[in-house]
Amino acid sequence: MQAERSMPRNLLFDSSSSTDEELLRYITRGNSLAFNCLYERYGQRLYAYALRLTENPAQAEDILQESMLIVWRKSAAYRGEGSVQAWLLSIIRNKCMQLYRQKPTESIEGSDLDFADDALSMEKDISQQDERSRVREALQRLSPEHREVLELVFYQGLNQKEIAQVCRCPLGTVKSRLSYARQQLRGILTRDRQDDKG
Amino acid sequence: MNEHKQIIESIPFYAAGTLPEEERERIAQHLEQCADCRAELELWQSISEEIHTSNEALQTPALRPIPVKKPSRHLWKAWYILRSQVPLIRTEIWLSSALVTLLGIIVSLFLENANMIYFLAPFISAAGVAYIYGLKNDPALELTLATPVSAQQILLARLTLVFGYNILLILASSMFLLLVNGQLAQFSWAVLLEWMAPMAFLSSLALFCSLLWGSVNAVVVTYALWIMRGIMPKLTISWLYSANLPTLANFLKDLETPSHLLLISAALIVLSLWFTDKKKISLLG
Repeated sequence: MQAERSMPRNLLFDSSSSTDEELLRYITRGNSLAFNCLYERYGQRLYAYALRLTENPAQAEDILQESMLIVWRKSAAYRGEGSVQAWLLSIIRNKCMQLYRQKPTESIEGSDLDFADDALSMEKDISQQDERSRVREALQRLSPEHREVLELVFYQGLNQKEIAQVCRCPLGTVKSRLSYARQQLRGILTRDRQDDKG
Repeated sequence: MNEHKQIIESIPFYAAGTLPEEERERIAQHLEQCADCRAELELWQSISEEIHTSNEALQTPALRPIPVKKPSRHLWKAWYILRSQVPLIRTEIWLSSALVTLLGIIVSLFLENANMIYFLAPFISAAGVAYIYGLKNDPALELTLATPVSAQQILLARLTLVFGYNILLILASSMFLLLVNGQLAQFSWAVLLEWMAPMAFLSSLALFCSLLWGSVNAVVVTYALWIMRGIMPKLTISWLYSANLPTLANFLKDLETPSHLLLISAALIVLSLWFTDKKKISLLG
């Protein structure tokens, strides 16, 4: 990360006591320390989300870098509707969607194939796995959009309204995706346990 | 929807620890009695744990260097136009405004009354603004108008420079006089508006008149109007009252409030900008 280049803009900034909204206001004024602080707070989670959506570390990193550049340049676009974290995640998601639109066959079909391959290898090894591996593999069998909602609930710590905001879908869709993911996971896990016993 | 179903929907968020305290307690109470929901919670907890474990192992990539923030393209352009117009404005404007203000300060000090500077402010500004545009004031105007910068932008830039300069002069002088007289505590936004509004009005009127009849005529007309306004208003208004025209009398009284003067100034500037475009066509056409 580049150290700050404009010292006067970075004065009077206290990273520990600043809220996310305050950090964005500082960033709008060109404060690179505030920008670093925001990245320290959310960088990991944003990267994890980008990786979840792309399933490709190099693409996830590019998306993260480009999204952070958008935050740096257009932080004034944050209007205070929803949390800063949800706003950041929606930028990451938009970037991913742009990427998919640019290379539809390569990215989307590629990830579907990965899922299929994973599923095949899973079938062979599943009897040897412990409970945690079962959950991991069950998660991998979920469709990307259902897995995405689980990531937003458990890793990003968003509520239903924020998830709807990030995914740009109605609240009902969030609920149904969550319910479908639950049914799928329970079904997969139950089936696997029965297979083990059988 | 029954309570059990509602709670089932909320259990993922309970497991994620993102529910408000009140709802959290409600679900905790329900969990004590409901084995199905406890199994549900167990499932979500194992999913949460797995998602956390897989994500926390990820290494956050280092950020690439960020570019230094620059003012927007429009701000750069505005700054460029402002800077380019400074040498094209008649030097006498800067000098005469400064000299008259200085004279005002001396007289104010002599009379021990800061109001003198407020009285002079509209005159100083109007005289300066009347000379910012036109072939007589800028022989290179025809050449300037042939550039991609519009006539309105040039006029606005010059108006900003001269009017801004005059505001700064008067503001600095009034602060100095208030300080010398020990009345700095009396300074307020209301006081500022009291002298800035007439200044804006007379300047915009001078600008509009200068475009119509030339700079000298504009100064004569605006000065005459302002002096007449100083002498006439009480006579006119009392005459209007006696002539049974109270609405018109009230309208004239209202017209002198700072907000009305500022509104009229804005309208005059818009008219001037419109007229400048027409003038440019006749100049270059």
